[in-house]
Amino acid sequence: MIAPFSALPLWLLPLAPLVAAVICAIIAVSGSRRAGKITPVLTVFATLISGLIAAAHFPQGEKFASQTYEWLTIRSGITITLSVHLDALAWTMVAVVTFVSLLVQIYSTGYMKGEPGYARYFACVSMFTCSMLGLVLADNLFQLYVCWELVGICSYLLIGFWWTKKSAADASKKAFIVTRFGDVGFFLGVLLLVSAAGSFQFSAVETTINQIANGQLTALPLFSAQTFLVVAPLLLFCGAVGKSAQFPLHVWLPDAMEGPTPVSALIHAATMVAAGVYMVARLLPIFAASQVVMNVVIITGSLTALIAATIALVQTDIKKVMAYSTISQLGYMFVGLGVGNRDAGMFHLVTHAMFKALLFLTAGSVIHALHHSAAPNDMRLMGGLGKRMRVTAITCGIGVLALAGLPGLSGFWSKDAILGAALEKHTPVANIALVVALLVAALTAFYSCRMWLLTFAGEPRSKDAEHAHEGPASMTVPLALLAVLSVVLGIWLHANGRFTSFLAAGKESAPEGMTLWLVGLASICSLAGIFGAWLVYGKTYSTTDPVEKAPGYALFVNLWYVEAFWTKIAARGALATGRAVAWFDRTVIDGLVNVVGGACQLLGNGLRRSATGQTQLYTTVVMAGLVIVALAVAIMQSGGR
Amino acid sequence: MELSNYLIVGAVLFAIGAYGTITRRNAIAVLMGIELMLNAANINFLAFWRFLHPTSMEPQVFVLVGLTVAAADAAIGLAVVLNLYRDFGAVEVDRADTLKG
Amino acid sequence: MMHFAMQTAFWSLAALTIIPALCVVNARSIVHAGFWLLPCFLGVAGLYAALEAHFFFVTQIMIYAGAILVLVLFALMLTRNAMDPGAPQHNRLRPAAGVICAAFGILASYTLSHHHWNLSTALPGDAQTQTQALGDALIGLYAVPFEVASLLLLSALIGAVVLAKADRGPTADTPALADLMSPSQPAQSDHERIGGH
Repeated sequence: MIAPFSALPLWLLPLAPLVAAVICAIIAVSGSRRAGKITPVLTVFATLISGLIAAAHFPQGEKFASQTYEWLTIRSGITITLSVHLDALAWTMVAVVTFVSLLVQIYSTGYMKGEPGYARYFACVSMFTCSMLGLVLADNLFQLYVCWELVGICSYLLIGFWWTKKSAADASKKAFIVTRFGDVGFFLGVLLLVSAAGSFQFSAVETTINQIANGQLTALPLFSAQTFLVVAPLLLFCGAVGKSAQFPLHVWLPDAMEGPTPVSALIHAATMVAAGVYMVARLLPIFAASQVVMNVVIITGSLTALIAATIALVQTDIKKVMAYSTISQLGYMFVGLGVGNRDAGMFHLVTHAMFKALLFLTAGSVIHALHHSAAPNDMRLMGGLGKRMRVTAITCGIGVLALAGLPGLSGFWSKDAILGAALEKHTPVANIALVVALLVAALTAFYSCRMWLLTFAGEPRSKDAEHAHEGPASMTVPLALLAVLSVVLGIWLHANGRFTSFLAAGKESAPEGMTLWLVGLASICSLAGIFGAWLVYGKTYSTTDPVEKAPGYALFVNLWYVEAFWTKIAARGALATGRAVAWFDRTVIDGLVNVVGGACQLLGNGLRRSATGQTQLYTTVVMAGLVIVALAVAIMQSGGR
Repeated sequence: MELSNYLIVGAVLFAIGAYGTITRRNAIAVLMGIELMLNAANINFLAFWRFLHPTSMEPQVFVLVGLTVAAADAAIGLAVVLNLYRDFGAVEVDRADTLKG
Repeated sequence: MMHFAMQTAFWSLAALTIIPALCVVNARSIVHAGFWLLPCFLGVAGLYAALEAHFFFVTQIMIYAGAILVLVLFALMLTRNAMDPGAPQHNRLRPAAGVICAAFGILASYTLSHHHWNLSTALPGDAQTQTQALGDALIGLYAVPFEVASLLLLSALIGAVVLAKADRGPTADTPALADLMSPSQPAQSDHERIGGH
């Protein structure tokens, strides 16, 4: 049934959502409400097409579908190509992106119903889908970078969807600028690699890095060989730090919760923030060439995981808890990649996409139910929703348990893959990372169960919570689907090393053995967290949240002062520099231009006096000219004599 | 007399005519200056005819046409001055400065 | 002896031209300026005679002294009270123009007198021969410039008539051209006449 779709051209995979986006944009601009209602049909259809084409081109071992389009060749011999490169790694991402995007779009028909800008929303979501697919289907740094920026733009558009609200407009700007910050490093890294390798292609770059590592290639731009191996990947990693919201550039993600919740589910949980992880996974040989770089990745990942988990403990906004949880789990993925295990990192990416999207969508369901409230996101005003919103409560519970790593659910398997990889590394850094990861597992379990209990258990703490009710089927069906996947996907991918051999693409892959004592330890941490949350929050608590009495509360609630640092020091510094430059521009450069204009004016004013309108004056001037001519003739004459 | 004498007379008469055109405030006086300049030009022409090409008739035709043009110019110029007088009530050239920039 | 007579004749004719010319441009009274034009033109005519351009000697007197001068005087008469006699006759440019024009006159004279001309030794014919030759030329080889000149005169004539007559619509004193052409039409009031057409 899927096979006929292989007859469709491969480039339609990333471009079908683009076509849908353009049509939706035209509909949005036309302002027609009736036409706006069919936009989700278009985008869902396009996403389905993409998914089905991908399904038809499932990679078999070493064989995979690939198409390249040469765009232009720079004189030095570097060619810029656009490609659809559907190997196993890309296929994984394509599957995740299309599946989650599809569910989010269906969910949005219910969530965004009646919103002005309905068509614009779907246009942006479809545009995002196209950009993300373009990113993962790239086989060269150029396309990767371009699509990287494109997803950033789509994120900006979607975070600022309700741009008339100042906080949303600020948040979208913040997201874009902070990720741009990281992208500067990314761009520099790309340039460095391309100038060394002479090509944008991943394969060429990896070959070059191998040559440098083997000592075969020593003539490099700017740096010595050893420094190059450290600097270039670190610069690329800057982009990942920005896009995947790692410390210290994680500050944009919590603010990005200003966007509609389905957007948060799609972009800031499952896909865009995973782009950084994907990039590192794709280019892992480049990173692996230097142990320093890998250590940096591990340290960044574990530090981020820890910081974000502690902050998530003390949040009162349901979406913010999930945002910090995402940051934390992305840190986990980077730990997995940093210890060299690409499969573990990707495994966690896939399972995380499922249950985090699920969690965000359930949060959206709750917010939608409470939308009459002044603060629909505030967990302190929730409670007792379990009885009123059964489907949401159950699916959310499944998602929470998956996140917490309850043995058997998908999160358990992927987390253990990472922990196992860290254990096998045997370096001091990896060992510290392992300890931190276990701690974070416990914290994750605690805060996620806290979230569930505050929202769904106990008695309603506000009027709006009493009147909450379940959403329409368009919202509950995706929840159910994702819940099922959160349960089964983990075990299914893990069994028989299915995922590992898929990614290995026909080459030999070592079978994964799970170290039993580590598995047990991890399980104990998760269960401890769950149990602790049940203890503290299981019964209705008094007016103050017990978490406020925890040690370090002030530090956590102030976000470890990272936000303050960026705002007060970095931003102020940048603004001061801007003011100085603006002064220079206004006074010196503008002044110069004004001087030129003023001089022209003076000259004109002076010359104006000669235009008196009196013919006799003009005649005088003519006579004077004649005198000069006569003088010249006289001089020439006497000179010639 | 020599050619240069006549040419000097022509040059001086031209200068005087130019002075009159530039300096006088009455429009008719300006036209008088123009007539003087035209006469000076004719003197020059005939002097050149007499001393350089006495047997040719071309210069004489030229002078005749120039004379004709001077007469037509005087006629039209004075008609314009009369119009000016009728519309503005004055014939001072200073007053016609609508082209002032 | 002849040479001395020639010289005297030339210098007096030159003086007869130049000095009245100076009076024309410097006269306080505009009518005096007009009258000073007469000796100037006569002097020029005399110079033409000295140059053996007999036809032009006569033509100059006829046209300049006879027609143009009269025209100027008529115009002076029609604009008699135009200018306040006490007002200055010269504008602000008088000193500057004086210097410039004097400079021009001197420079031009110097240049022209020091130039080497290819003088011809031929002599022009007498008056009858010249006039006949001029007549032949005008009818023959230079017929076109001749006709164009006459066209110019015609257009000047018409133009002058139109200019002198402009801006005046039909009034009771000056019947419109149409009325003049068809006198049989009964007299109409201005209103009807204008509105009817």
